[in-house]
Amino acid sequence: MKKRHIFYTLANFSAFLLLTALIAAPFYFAKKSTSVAGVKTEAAYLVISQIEKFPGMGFTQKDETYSLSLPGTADAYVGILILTNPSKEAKTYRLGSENNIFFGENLEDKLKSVTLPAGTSIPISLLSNRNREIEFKIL
Amino acid sequence: MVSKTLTKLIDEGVVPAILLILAKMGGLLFAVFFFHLSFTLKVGGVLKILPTLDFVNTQGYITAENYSNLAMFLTSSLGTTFVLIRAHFFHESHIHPQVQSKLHKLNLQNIIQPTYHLYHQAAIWLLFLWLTTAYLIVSAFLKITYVQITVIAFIVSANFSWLFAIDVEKEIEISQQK
Repeated sequence: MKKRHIFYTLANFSAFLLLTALIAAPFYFAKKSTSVAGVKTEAAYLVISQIEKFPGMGFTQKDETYSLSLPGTADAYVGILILTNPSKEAKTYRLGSENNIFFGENLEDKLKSVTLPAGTSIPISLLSNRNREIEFKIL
Repeated sequence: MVSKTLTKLIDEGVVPAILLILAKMGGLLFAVFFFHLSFTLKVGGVLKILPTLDFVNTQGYITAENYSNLAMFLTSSLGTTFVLIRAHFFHESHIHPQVQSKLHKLNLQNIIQPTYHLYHQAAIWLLFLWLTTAYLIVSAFLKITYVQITVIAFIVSANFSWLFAIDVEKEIEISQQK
């Protein structure tokens, strides 16, 4: 008799769980079915590589240091990377490097620091020198 | 044995749950194709079965969410409307004799349903309707769904609940007269 009672309780509890799952399923799907690419990141910036425009160029990252290996000795590489501010507020970014790497595409005005409004982007360019390996940080 | 009510509720809950998931997917597809939104499709993103969409920008995500949530709400409203019409006009306990004879002539007596069946169906559809409204309210607070849609959803849900309450009152009166 006691066994039977436990069985009834378990069966009803299982049925209740099944009903709850059934009711919750559409809303779980509704919540999980869509998202925005990149919005969940808490990173201060997003870097998008454009090196496919420059055959032979390499781009790697180790911790917070980015490395570019240049294919040749061209004078300038414009728009190698794109930096995006993914946050909801304006942020100031600085390039930490001794090399001729700068924000924007204007060779006459090589910006080492830039303030980006929320959700906006800026290209990163490089005026070449003798170094074939360029290391830099985005601060 | 498992409670009859629980079994009946599970039985009645399967179709609305599937319809709401299909409505969400339909709403997303409608928004994506009619507004030419950019997205990435992930197969098996939800429970390794259902697909998910990653939108390139927030505006696209908000447009798709609004249309898909609206589709979910319209589906739950239509389901509830269907059940309420049956409860008010084709309810076994208080169907009008003329309607009943017409239905018999047309061989449509299956439309007439007993209280037990109708009220379980109504409970499930109203639950889905209110949960959809709650989902819209949360979305509106998160600035995803437009407030106008949420307000309309709340008004519709409240009125449908009231219409159902009228039928329950009628049913109680009938059972007291017996």
